[in-house]
Amino acid sequence: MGLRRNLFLISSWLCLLPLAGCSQCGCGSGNEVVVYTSVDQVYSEPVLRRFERETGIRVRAVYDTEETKSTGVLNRLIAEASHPRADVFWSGDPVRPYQLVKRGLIAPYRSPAADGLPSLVRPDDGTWTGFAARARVLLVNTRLVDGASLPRSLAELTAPAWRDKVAIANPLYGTTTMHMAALASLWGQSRVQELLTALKRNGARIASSNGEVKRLVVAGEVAVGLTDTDDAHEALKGGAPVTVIYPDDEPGGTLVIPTSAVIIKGGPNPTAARRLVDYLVSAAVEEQMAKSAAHMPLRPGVPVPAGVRPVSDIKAMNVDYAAVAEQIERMQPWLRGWVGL
Amino acid sequence: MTVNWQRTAAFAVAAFVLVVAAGVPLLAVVLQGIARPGGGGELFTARALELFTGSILLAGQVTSFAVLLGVSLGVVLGLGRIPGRRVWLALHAMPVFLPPLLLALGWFHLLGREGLLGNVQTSEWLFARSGLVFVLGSTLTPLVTLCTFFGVRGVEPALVDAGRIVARPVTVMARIVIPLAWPAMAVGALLVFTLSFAEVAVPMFLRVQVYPATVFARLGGLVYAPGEAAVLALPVVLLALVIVAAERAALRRHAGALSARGDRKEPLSFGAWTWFAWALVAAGVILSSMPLAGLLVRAMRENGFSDAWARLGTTAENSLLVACVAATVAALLAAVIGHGLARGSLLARWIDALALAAFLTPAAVTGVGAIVTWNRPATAWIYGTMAILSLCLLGRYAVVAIRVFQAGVLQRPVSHEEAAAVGGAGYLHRIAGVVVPESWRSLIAAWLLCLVFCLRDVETAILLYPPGGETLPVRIFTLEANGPEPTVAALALFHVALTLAALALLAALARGRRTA
Amino acid sequence: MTVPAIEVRDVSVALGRVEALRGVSFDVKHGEVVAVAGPSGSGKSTLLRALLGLTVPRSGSIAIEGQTVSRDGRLIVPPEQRGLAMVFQDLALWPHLSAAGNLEFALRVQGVPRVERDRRVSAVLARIGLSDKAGSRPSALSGGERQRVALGRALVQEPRAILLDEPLASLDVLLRAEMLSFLRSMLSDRPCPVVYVTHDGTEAAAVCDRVVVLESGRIAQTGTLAELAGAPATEFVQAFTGNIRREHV
Repeated sequence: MGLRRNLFLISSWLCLLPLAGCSQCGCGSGNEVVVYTSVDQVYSEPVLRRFERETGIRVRAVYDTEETKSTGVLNRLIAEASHPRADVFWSGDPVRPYQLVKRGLIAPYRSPAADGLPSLVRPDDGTWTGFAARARVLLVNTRLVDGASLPRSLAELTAPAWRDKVAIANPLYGTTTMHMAALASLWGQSRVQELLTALKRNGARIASSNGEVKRLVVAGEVAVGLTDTDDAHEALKGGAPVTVIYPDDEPGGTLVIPTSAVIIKGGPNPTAARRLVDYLVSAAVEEQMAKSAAHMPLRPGVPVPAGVRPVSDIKAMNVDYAAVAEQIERMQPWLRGWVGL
Repeated sequence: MTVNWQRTAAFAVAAFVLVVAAGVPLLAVVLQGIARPGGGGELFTARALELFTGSILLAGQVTSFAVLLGVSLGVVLGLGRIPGRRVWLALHAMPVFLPPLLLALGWFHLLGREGLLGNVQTSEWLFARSGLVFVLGSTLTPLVTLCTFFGVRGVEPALVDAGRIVARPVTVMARIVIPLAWPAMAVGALLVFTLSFAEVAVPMFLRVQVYPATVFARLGGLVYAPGEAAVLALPVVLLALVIVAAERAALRRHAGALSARGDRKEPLSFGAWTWFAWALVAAGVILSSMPLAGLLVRAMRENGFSDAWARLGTTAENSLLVACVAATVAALLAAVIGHGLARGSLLARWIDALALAAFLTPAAVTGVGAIVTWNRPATAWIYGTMAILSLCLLGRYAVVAIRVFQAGVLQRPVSHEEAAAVGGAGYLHRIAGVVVPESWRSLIAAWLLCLVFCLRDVETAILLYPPGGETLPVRIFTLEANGPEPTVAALALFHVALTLAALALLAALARGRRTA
Repeated sequence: MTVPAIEVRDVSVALGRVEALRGVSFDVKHGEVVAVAGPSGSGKSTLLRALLGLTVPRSGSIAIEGQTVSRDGRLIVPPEQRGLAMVFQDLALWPHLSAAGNLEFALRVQGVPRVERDRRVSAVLARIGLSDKAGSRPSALSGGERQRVALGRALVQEPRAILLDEPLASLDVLLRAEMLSFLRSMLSDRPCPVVYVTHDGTEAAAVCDRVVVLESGRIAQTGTLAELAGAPATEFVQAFTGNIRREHV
């Protein structure tokens, strides 16, 4: 009797297994779109919810963590290549999509809603569309650095005055990788290597992420850090004693990083995917991202809140994002050595 | 069904489940490594080897920390006269419920340069190897404590009494209890060693280079190289097999209790050492509470809790459901494989080695293997649903349940099962009617620990959760990227509360069973 | 007047809500073997635990060789300082120690010098006929051999008193007879008093001078076996003494 009762209990529990599956059944209910995004959830989720409300199309999203907390949605997309689950990839930069382009995982789409965006972020092959950008900036703790001594470029930070006072995120990941690759595509790889070597010699700390750089600067652990505008904006919003410097004095200028939307080839909901991309690249989303995430609109005429610098006011680096993607792969071995891996 | 067929069938089912959950994704990973042009020898540079040995040393230091504090505390709480022992144990165990990075953040809020208790010196100490050993050690010590607690409470009470009438409690604990309960302690130490070795996020945060980061760098950046990651993960798997072999050699010499009378339970008095026992308890509780206090202070700012509540969504239910299913199946597997392992079954040893390899291999690597395996039209009912999470968590953490139950069974005499066999009970009857009832505490502990691990998992979940089906740890980490720090801290505390609630329910059920 | 080896005065023990012992009083004289008999649940094992100090009586006092070891709910002398030895019902041999190791453990923790330790262990091993099994772990010994090691572990300590908790309960008939004979010879050599818990009248008759009968935590009757057999106060006493052969009485 005891054995029969135990087996019955076991069977009941095992019946929970399909229940575990049914709670989030991916059975394609028709009026839905699946989006994977590496744009921070605090910014991307409100945009996607608004799309849901306005169109009635249900959005099922996969969000990403900071680069060093997990392996990221990009890897998931590549691993799922044989049977794509996602319809749209909303990337925090234009370089990640090139990993997908290289593998033939993208369905080209030139959205009519992208009119007005610069041609730099709308390649002719329609593989990706860029909008709502961040910039790479220097975040400075104003309690530790007076106004007269503010740095104007990354190269300045190799000077003895900045010894042990600088933080930079791990250049193997995220926008720091992209930044170094962009510089290399302009200056040549050896000059970038010299810069990084000099920074390390000058005691620059390698933080795990841009968010960590922000934390270190805000806490006064370092005087200045290289990070993105959205991280800098969060620090300012929190009332931290910091100021933001756009390194326009850097040869080439400030790196601008648009977010990008791509359609995954073979995704389950292609029609809804196009509608979502149309929505993402619209002026309305650029305006929303400017207000909530301090992302700079790339479309002229989109209102920009105070504290967010219009892209037209920045000496933006003139980069070929495809070339930057190639450069990243070439630089990886050296960067790993620089980091100490 | 004859006796032998029952056993064979049970093992076959258990092996099949584990092969499906863990073995096939691992094989997919290995095949990716083999397929890599050039083999991979060039990946093992002098630096990589230096990092590998450094990581082993680091894991050894963390384990030593955890064993020193955890064994002492586990014995004191398990056997000593400590009023409110279960409360202290629960408070001490709380860090285990959270991904270590969140606790590292808590320590940063306390000991960073502008932390609540910090200054330049504490900050420099924290962001160094010393800080890493301390943070990981204090985070993982409760694993050793919990295993020791259940282990010592499983020692035959008469053996303790026989020592007690000739020696002081401290001597009895050191010379009788610990030698008899060490398999359980070894489980805890093994868990701490493997978890601290495999940890990536905390060393990166505290700026210490470790070997698993070399694997992560092939999967976490903008360059996707799973073949290289698989090759670099191989030494980790080999390390697992070496640890298993050493552990088995030691266990062969272990002597379990000769008889199993009921539960004790008169606590031991420490006499003149009572102050030391309480100091240990205080140290354990304070060390565990401090980073959580750091998170609490953070959460109380700027409507952290109310914002976190609004962002909770269905993540708590998702976490619980997935973890409960995985832990339950793991416990069932443990009843067969853990028992087989304790009784020297060769097949059980092979299955256990597979489970351990799955536990040790970086989650990013096995996650990719799982996607390659299950992302097919025929298995969409698994891959596209929460079932994939339960399955992969089962594959990853089944070894926790297996080892904990094994340790419990080792403390019971085989004569009881033999008596049942002589009386005509088949294998399944013996497992269900003798082994499980006698070792029910160990089975509960196995389920419990497996549940905790499944609840706190991030690396597997982030790769596999179906769109819209986030678990709570995933939500915490996706919001952590530029999300309000108070909200993230509050969500972390919600997670602790969720785990405590699950444990409290379990404790209530266990108490009900005892009085039934 | 000689002070009794063990004095139990009005001892009551509560285990949770259950009154396991109620107002128990009796003495054990030097050199005496006293059987404590009673049905299951009568409080026999609890009495032993109270004597050992593993359980603290709620009230009453216990003295060993005139030294008060517990009184009115207080543990005055801890277990390891009472100088008592015990043979447990399930023997409680430490499985990770050899036969010699089990014997040696108490001597080692008491700080007995190594030479003396080795001498005493060897002597007891020879006495119990297990010199050739000194290095064997309990799992490698037969039931009878384990029984002897358990008894040897008690004897080697040269205790103030030996307590035995149904030492033969788990043995088969033949082995029981053999061990009973062995016990008689061991105990007849000893200089210390013995408290022998049993529910078997034959055992009591074989080794004991006097019997204390417990029922429901109280002393139902006490006296020699002849006295109990002649005037049993309860059904249990009648049954207990009923099977004893006339020559023992």
